[in-house]
Amino acid sequence: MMSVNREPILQVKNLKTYFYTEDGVVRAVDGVSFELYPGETLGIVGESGSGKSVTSLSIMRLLDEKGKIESGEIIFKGRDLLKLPEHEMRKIRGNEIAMIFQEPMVALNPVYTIGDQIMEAIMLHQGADEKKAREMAVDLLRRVGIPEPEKRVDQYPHQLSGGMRQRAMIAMALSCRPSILIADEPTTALDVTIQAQILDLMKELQEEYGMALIMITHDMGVIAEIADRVAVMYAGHIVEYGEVHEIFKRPRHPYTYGLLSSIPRLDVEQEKLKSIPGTVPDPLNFPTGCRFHPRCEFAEDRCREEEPEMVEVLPDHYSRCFFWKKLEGLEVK
Amino acid sequence: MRQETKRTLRRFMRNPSAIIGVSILIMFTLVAAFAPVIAPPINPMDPSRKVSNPYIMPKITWKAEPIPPSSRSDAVKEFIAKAMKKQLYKSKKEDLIPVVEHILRRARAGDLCEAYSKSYKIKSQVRKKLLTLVPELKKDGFSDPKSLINSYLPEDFKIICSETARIDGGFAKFLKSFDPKKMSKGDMVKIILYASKYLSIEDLKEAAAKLFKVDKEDIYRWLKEKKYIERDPIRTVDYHPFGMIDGRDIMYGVVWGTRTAFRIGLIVTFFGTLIGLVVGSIAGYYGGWIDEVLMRITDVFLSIPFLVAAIVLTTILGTGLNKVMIAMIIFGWMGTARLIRGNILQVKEEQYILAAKALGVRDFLIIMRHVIPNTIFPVVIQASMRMGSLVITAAALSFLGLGAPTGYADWGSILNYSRDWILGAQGEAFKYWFALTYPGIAMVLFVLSWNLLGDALRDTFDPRLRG
Repeated sequence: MMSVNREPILQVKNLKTYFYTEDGVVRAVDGVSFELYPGETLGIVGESGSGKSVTSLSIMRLLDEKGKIESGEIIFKGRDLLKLPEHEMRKIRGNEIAMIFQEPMVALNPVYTIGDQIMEAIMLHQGADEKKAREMAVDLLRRVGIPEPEKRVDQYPHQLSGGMRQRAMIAMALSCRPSILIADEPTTALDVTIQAQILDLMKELQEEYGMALIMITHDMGVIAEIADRVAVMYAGHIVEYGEVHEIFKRPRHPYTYGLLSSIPRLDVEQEKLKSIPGTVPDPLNFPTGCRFHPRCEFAEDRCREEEPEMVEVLPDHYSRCFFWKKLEGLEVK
Repeated sequence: MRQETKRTLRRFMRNPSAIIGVSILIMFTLVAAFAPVIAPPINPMDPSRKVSNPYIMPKITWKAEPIPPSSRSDAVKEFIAKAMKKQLYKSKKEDLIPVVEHILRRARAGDLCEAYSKSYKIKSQVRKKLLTLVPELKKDGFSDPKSLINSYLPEDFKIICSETARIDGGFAKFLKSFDPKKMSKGDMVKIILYASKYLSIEDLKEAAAKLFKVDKEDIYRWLKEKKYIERDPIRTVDYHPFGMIDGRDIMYGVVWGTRTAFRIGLIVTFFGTLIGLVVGSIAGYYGGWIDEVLMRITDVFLSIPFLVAAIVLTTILGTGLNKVMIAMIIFGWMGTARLIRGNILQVKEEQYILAAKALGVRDFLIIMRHVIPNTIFPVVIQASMRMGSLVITAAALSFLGLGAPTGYADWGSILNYSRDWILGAQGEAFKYWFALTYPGIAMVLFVLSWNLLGDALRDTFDPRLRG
């Protein structure tokens, strides 16, 4: 509850992003709302295809031609990003809101040195000359923990390891000191030991730069590690939203409950890893009523017919479930 | 940065195909640059005269060009008229000499022939007259054979030589009045060469034999070795190391053809690639209806058979090498357009493009800095390979009579030109092997070197292939 009193830096209101494919309309993001406060970390967690990446691309307005933002508002520092002309939006990208991607192998251009790519952003937004930009790039590389930055700055992405590349990506994203950093599964493609290092680095840098962080992941462990608040996404909806300890301790949506239960634990003897039965529904053809009902162990008839609304189950803790009360008293095992 | 350049250069220099390709290309470039030194553009029939267009291989011809009657001079007309009406032999010697002198200086051989034919009776008289003139001519600089060849009356002298020679073997007599002992062998050869334009081989043999007091068979053999008699391809070592076809030196064609090959290759590749690059990258990057329209236009161009299109285009534009190059540009950009479009479609989806967009980079800069460098390498390779193959395409068009004119110094044209001899002689399939081999080797090496260079460029400069 650290940030409730402050003004949110980013407010997403009822965002709907649809993809018009040949097979039909994919409602990838279907009415998502959340706030981001300065300096905090919001985790967006969900399975593949739940719409979390599309949400982040919608904020950046970087959807491909098939994707369209149908409705909603994205208020950043008092301005609706969806209404800005493209050239204004470009000034925000990289400068105010930066993004890092899942695959550091492919998110860096193979034909340029990492120095070139960091300098590109610095020269673009800060108007620094080449010499200055290069110094800044070296500093940034040093700051993100790359050894011998003077040498590394002239190396090509293929000469760096995965973890190094992700550090370089972070340096690139931080080059203009953005107020929001969106990290789209930044650790998924990395070794577990490197993952921890990168998360630590991001936490450190977040504190140092005072920026807000949106951490998109499917890994509850990452959320627990880094997030202040968390939004759980399922099939284009946020199904549960609240403070991270609260949600980890008292999940009030069966999906969150399932996710938390499926984390393998060392302290409890388990014969088989628990999992949520079934798969993510086909986005072309979502089930009627609650989108989670086919996989939900608590589902009743009402869930099949009526779509639940977000309800505040506890202060600052929202759930999209009719029967959240059923989960009261259930401990996450 | 400098270190990286050095490393790239080192990588390039270590690549064996790069070394081979580049050295062959350097060789070709040198040959092209020093073509006037290696194969001087000199008319073999008359070394004193410059060749107007060095790209047309000079030809050693054997037949006198017929001269139209309209070009006769008044004096000759008068002479003919006299010959017909008054009968020339009745004229006083004093009257006749200036006329004959005039003829010697001004008249054309054809006129003289006509004059002879009009009145058989004056023939011997005039011939006598001409022979009596010889000592006078000799006084007048003919005694020096070099000036005879190079400066004095070159055209008319030759013609008189040949015409008198044609009539009753008079040539031999005419030449006999020169002292062979005072002439160098080279000058005698030149005189015979001039005369040989107009003589039958039999006459030539006889004349030469009489002149040089040698066995006529020896003279014939000697002339044949020098390869100035036959139309068939000839291979000699001393004057024309690659041999000759139809009176044209193959080495000359190969040397000057290097320039033609570079010109065709560079111009067509540059413009073709440029058009393809613009069309393909616009279509690929913007997609949608722009892509649809541009690619359908490309399809239309691709659906037209190239040779048919080139034939139609040259009927509109006219034949010639430049027209063929235009045709090759107009119908040669589609491959590049498709290639670059395909690559862009692929690269467009790469995350680093998204990452660049997420940094707020403009579309134009994304195309220039991120898309093109990642898509250009296949185009560069394709372009360098096309450099070579275009020479072959141009040859095909020349073969159809659309491209370079006959005798143009172009490897393809030489091959086309020598197609009568490709099959060799009866029982000797490889008799004229040199007619195909030398231009063929030049073409193969040219194509090969560009292919090797293209591969080496990719291996060296494409960072995606670095280990």
